[in-house]
Amino acid sequence: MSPFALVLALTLSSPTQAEQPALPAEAEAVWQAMNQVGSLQARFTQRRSSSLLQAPLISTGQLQFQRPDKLAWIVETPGRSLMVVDGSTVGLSYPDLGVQETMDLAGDPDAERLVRSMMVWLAGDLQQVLADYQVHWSSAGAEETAPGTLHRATLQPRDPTMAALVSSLELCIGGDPLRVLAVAMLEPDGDRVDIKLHDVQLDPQLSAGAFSLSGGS
Amino acid sequence: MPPRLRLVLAAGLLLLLGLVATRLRFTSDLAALLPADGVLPRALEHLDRFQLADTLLVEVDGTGASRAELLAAVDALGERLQADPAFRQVRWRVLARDGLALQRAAAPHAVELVPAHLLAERLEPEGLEAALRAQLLKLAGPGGGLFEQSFRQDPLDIGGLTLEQLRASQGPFRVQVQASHFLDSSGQRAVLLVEPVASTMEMGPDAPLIGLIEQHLASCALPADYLGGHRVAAESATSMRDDVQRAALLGTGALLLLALLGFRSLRPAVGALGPLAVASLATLAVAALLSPVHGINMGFSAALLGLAVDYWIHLYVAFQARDPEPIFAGRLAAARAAWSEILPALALGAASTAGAFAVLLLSRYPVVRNLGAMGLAAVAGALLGSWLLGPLACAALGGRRLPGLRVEALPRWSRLLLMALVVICLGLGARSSFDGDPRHLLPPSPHTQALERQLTARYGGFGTGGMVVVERAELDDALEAAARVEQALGELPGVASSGPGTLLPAPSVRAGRRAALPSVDLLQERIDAAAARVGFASLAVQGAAARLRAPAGTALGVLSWAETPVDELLQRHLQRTERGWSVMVSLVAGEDSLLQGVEAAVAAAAPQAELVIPSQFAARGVEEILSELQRLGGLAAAWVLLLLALRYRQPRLVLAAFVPCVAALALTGGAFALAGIPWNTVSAASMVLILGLGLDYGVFMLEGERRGASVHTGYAVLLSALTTIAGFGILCVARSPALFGVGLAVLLGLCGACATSLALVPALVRGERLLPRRLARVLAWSAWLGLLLVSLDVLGSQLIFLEPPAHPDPPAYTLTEDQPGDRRFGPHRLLHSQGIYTAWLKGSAFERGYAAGALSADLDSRLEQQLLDSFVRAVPNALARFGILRGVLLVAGGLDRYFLPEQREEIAGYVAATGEHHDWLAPTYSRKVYYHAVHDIGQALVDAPVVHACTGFMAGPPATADGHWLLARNFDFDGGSLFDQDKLVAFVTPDQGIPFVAVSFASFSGVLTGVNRDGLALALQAGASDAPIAPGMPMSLIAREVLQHASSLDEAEAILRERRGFVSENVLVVDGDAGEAAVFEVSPDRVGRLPVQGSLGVSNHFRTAGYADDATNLQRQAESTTVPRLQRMEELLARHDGRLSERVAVEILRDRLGVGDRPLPRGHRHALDADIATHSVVIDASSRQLWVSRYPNTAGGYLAYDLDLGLAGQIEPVEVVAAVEVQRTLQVHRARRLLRQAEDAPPAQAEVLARQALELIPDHPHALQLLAEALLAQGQREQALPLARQALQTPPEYTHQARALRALLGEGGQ
Repeated sequence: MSPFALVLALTLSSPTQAEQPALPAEAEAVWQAMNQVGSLQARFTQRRSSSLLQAPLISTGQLQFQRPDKLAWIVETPGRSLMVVDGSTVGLSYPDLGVQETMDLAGDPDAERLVRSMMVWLAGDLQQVLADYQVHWSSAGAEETAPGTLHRATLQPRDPTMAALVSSLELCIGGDPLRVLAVAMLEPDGDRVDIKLHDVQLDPQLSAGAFSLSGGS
Repeated sequence: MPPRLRLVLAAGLLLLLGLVATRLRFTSDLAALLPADGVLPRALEHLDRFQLADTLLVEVDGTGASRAELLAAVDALGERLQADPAFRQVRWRVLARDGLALQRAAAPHAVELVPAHLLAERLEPEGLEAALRAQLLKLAGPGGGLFEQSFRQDPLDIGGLTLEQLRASQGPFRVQVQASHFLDSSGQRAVLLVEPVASTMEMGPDAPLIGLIEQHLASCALPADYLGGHRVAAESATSMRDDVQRAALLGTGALLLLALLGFRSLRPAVGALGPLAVASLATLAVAALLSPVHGINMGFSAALLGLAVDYWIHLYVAFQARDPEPIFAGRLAAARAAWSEILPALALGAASTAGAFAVLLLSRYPVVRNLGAMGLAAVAGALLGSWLLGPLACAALGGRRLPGLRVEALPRWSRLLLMALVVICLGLGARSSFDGDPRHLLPPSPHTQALERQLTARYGGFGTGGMVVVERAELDDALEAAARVEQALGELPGVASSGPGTLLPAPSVRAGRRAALPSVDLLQERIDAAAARVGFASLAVQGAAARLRAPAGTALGVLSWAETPVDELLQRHLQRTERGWSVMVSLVAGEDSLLQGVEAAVAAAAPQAELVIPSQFAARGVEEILSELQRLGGLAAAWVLLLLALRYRQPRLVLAAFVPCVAALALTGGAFALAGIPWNTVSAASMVLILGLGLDYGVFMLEGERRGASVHTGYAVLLSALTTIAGFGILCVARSPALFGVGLAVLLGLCGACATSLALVPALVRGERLLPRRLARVLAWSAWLGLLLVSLDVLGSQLIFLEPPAHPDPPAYTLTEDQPGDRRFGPHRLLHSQGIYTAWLKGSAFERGYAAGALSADLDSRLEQQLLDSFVRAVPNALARFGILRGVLLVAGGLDRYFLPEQREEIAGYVAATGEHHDWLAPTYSRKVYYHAVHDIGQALVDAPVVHACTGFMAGPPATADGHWLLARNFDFDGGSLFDQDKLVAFVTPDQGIPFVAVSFASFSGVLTGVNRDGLALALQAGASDAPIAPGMPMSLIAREVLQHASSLDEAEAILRERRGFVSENVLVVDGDAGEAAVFEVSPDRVGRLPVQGSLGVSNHFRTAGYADDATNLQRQAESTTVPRLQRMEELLARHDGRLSERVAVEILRDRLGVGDRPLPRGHRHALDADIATHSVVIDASSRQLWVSRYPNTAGGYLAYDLDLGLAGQIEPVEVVAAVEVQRTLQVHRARRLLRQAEDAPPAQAEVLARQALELIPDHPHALQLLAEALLAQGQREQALPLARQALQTPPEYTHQARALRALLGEGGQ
């Protein structure tokens, strides 16, 4: 079954608003800084720990993001796969399996918003983040890998259907300029996904074809 | 009767008829024209229910634009169309919610929707591991967390398999979904499917919908065009309106001019109004009583109103011939006297015409019955109107004396000329053709026609579309029958089909798929093992097998797909009717010749299924109606002749009255044939009017002559004819073939009828000699001579026809076909599997022949018909064909004396089983004997025989990869594609000789390609030499003797030397066991032997020393394609030296490049594979394996046979090479047909045909040449010369084509 089907299934119930405690001014400044980024390119290492697997599944690859609504998520190991989001069109490709799918989300605002929420932390759009998640903010000391203050944002989905899939998202933000360094996604059944970003380039020149299935691959 | 009473009566009559006429209702339903219980209305009903005529295809051309620009333009256009209430539905992209709905609907029934073999592959240990590895990849990929949920529900991704199946049934158009839109294969054009609210029936001239669509398309950011029934209907209606307006304008002018010149007054035009009104209202009143009537009926009947005008003209002219009277009463008396004068002729003419129409009332076709009733009403109305109002109008209008026409003053030579013209036209008329396709009556604009061709090529697939409809009371029964039909059609190469089976498999199929699942324990064990190997925890796949085998909550049914995008697709295939359920399987046959196979396959799979081929259906329907008209027309003619005989009692006078009808028919038919204009439904129906008027002219002239009034009667006839020509004949200025046909037929027919009435009828009445005495004597002698020649031919034929040998009683077996396509006759068998017929025969020669005949009689009949069709195409003149056939019988008289006794017995057995088919040609045994020598006789009689392009090779160690000995060849034969479709692989175990397998055709005892159990493989390829051609043993039968009786090259050579053949031939022989091979260059004079060293290519000329100076052999090399093909073959053999195998041999046989890898246009005869091979075969003589090509040509793939297994009875072939480029091959076939038509067409038509061919086979030199010639003939030298240069550089296929091109360019010739 295509992941999009599941994505769309999540839209069956509308999100409900919960009380959001006030964020410190520092948090808003951090999000504001991230919101200045026009495009981003980074390599990632993802570690998926799941009860379905005998051992954690490690994957590596790169992602490209361009404001406002373009994303390419390219997995290189253990096998090649690609997801591109360009406006309301979402494409998914598994070259090794000969699978390629394209879907149009136009006319499905719920589905469109949900797909968009996957990019929300990259875009640094605090308003959208607060609409979709309850946010807890904390700051800590510097680390060797990223000099300066490290900030930690814990995002809990407001939408119960989404919450049934993801308990929380932990964003580790730091560096100069500020950027997301790592993401940890906790699932209700105890599974966990850790994504570390490195070789991050802010505002690189990205080609227009980077966000199509042919160009992105 | 007093004038006032007449006026009151007329007014009352008009009022009454008018009141009845107000009830008139029309229908546009074609079914209203047909009998309710016939096959055609049911076919129409199916078409109406399932056809896609109301969907428009809009194409947006993004050539030169970026993908984003194209998609943006399409989205904007789609949204605008969707927002317009004039359109019911617009589809142009795939939405995510559609995918979700589809997945939800399919998920519970995944196991039932996936074909058993795919499911079995997935559930094997390897399949499970591959599926789980793919799942792992998705888990590691983007959105892996979300994917995890679907993995838990469907770890083996059976849903993915289901979706692949569903994607294969996306709809009627060949589009691919890219970037969520429907794009063509280049990705540069996008299509939208638009369903307007208005139906095609509502499309009149300037229909608002058309303007609306064009407005939307004009606002599109990129160029956009559209095609569909609405456009065609609107353009046809507009074209018709323009034609009628133009003709009406011209006709009115012509009538006014005629009135002024002929009548010297416009008054007669006013006087005609009364009779015309009565006749019109009478016709409309009867039509109202028959309501609803079809527009076609009204169209035909309108023409009959011309009778009213004619009756009035005769009365008016007779009135004017009398002395002028100054007062009304005097004029009325004169008019009444004139009426009495013409009454006998009027009564006889009206009675004849009315009787003819009354006969039409006997028809079983409503359209013909209605025509009869309305025709009767028109005649009665014309007569009544003329009687009531004619004399009054004459008296009221008065007028001037008319000049008259002195017909007796016509010179005698004019009669002779006219008679000669009629006789010539009668002969020519036999050649006239009929085009029954109603789509050709009102064709759309040239732009739309070109667009249709382009879009059909891009999206619609090639060929003839149709449908098979199965009706059953229960849905499950209908699905079962449809599944059998789908399977049967799926096995026919070149036929694409689509039914409901993908979405709603038949119950037995679904049950079979479930039953094929492994047990839960076994399956779970396999899944666990695979999961462990891939790296999944056992928890991940726990219970997967049990979930897979568990039945779905609700059974799969029609409602399962409600609310999904494929629901509409299912509706296209399956509908509930008052009779139960109607299920449709759509099909596209790549060539019309495949339809016979389709018919047979459908009949075998579901005997009660109905096959509807719209293109054939339309033509067949019209032909049936015409046939009915002809039958009733014969009766009507008999009635008319009877009436004339009763009235005149002298053959001469009956002939005089009837001869204008004959002349009208002859001149029209002859002129149509001469101009190459086919008859169509409308022009054929207009003959009703022409014959009716022709009879009137004859009768009036006869009566006028008898009462000495031929001067003014002739004038009346002339004016009648001219007014009708001005009214209807003027339609020949129309552009639409429908109106043009009517106009031309009326113009020619009435000219003929009028001229004959004036020139011949008075002379016949007077008993004058029409022909000079000497000419009459010559004609009489000619008739006697003709009779003598026919008698001699009948007697002579009996002497030269062959007698079959005495034979034993036929074997007492019964023909059975328990499984479709698997026929048995005792131990003998004919299997049609995977697109090839395979036979297994054993025993005595007679029994083998008889069994082959019993098993393959239908194939034989089809092949013979196609052979004869090819002969007719090659020699269109019937007399020339007759001469050739008789010449062959004389030259090759007693041909079977050269055959071996067992060969004669085998043919006699075949004939005994199949019976007589084409006896008019010759008795079956004689024909079969001569068919065995078709190839030889063809070479003997014609300089360019049908077989000339075979190319092959033989190879052994060290050229082959495994040291085996190979023989590979393409057998190119222009006899028709059925010889490819119905090719026969025959495993034969004779009671004397060596068992063998041969590839040939049904009813053919000879061998063209084969291999025997002793490893001797053989193939025939035509050669050429100076050796005198004389009757002998056909080469294919000599080859058969070699295969059946030789075990070595030496034994083969001995047989070749002993037998004397007709013609020259390359005989390729490989001895797989001894490891040697040679090509024997055989002519009636000598046999040359060219041994094979490693590998040797062979085409169609000789190379041994004995033929080095042979002029014919040298000419063959200089002028045909044999040299370039051999050069290419040798080039490829050298390239693959040491690596040759069966698979490489297939690659070589499929090679389409020229020497030095030069690209050649598709279908070029210099290529080894010119898309013409009737069979392509690779034989491994060492292992006794045989690979045989499947239709079409080499593109349909290759099937393998094992000789030993085959002889043991295992004749089911195995596919070893897949089909490739089938559609492109069929395009070449289509292009060749177009080129053949272009060769015989007038320049303008040839240009269109050649351009169409070039769209299919770009740059082909013959297509370029024909286009250049057509353009040159039309004076377009500037465009023609570059095309000729391009053709010359390509290069041309044959030297004679090159010479013609050089002459065209002025470089050679003059």
